[in-house]
Amino acid sequence: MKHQSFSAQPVDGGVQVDMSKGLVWGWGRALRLLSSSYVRGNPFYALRDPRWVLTQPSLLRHLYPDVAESPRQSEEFRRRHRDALADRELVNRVRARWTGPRPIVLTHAEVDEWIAVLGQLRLFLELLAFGRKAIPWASAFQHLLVMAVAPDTFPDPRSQPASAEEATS
Amino acid sequence: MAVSHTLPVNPGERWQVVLHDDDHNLIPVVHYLLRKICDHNWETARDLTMAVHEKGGAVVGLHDRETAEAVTVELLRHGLSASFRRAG
Repeated sequence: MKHQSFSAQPVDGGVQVDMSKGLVWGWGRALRLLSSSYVRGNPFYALRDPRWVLTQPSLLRHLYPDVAESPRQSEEFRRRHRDALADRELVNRVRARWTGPRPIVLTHAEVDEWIAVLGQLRLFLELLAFGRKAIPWASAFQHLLVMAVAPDTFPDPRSQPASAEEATS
Repeated sequence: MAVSHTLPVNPGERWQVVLHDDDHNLIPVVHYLLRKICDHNWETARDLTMAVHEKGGAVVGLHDRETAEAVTVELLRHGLSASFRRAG
């Protein structure tokens, strides 16, 4: 089995991201799929049978079902903020760097974009049966990026020893 | 019935932004995003992160409607589970 690795390290000028070729290729494809799914009215999006496109819920309704006090308000919210919630240019920017020339050195602003897109990609993968195994990876990549830009971030308390004795035992 | 694209505004009305627990967002990522998006200090972000984790959700902001929606959008587009509602 190929070893797949992803690292994010602070360097002068930003954060250097390294990843295996498998991650470049596989996740690059996933990002392309996410980008294409943000095309308004894409009738061939994987969740929608083209024969029933008028009756099936939209991608954004799948991703963000209950964001307001009622289904109607949630629908209105999704429509008002569709461009921000389904920002294809953002995904394409991240994908371009993900699959582009090496080494990758991201600015902090680009790191924030990667964190956002990985979050969106994880939501998207949850909808696809074949994508669910990759969900923890997206969370892990986000974590590595966060620790590279903000090492003082509150850690998961479950990973900390409960007491000094436990730490040294 | 037509779906409204415009934001109904009721001046003076306050809206809560609620962050919900989920199975996938890691605690450090939630903490970072609460500081970045909601402008909370380190300690408040920690307390809110743990409240979300331990109780299933927490109010992470109180704003006018337009701001509450904007904050909710940012949380959602980073992969967090969020919603907004009238306060009180």
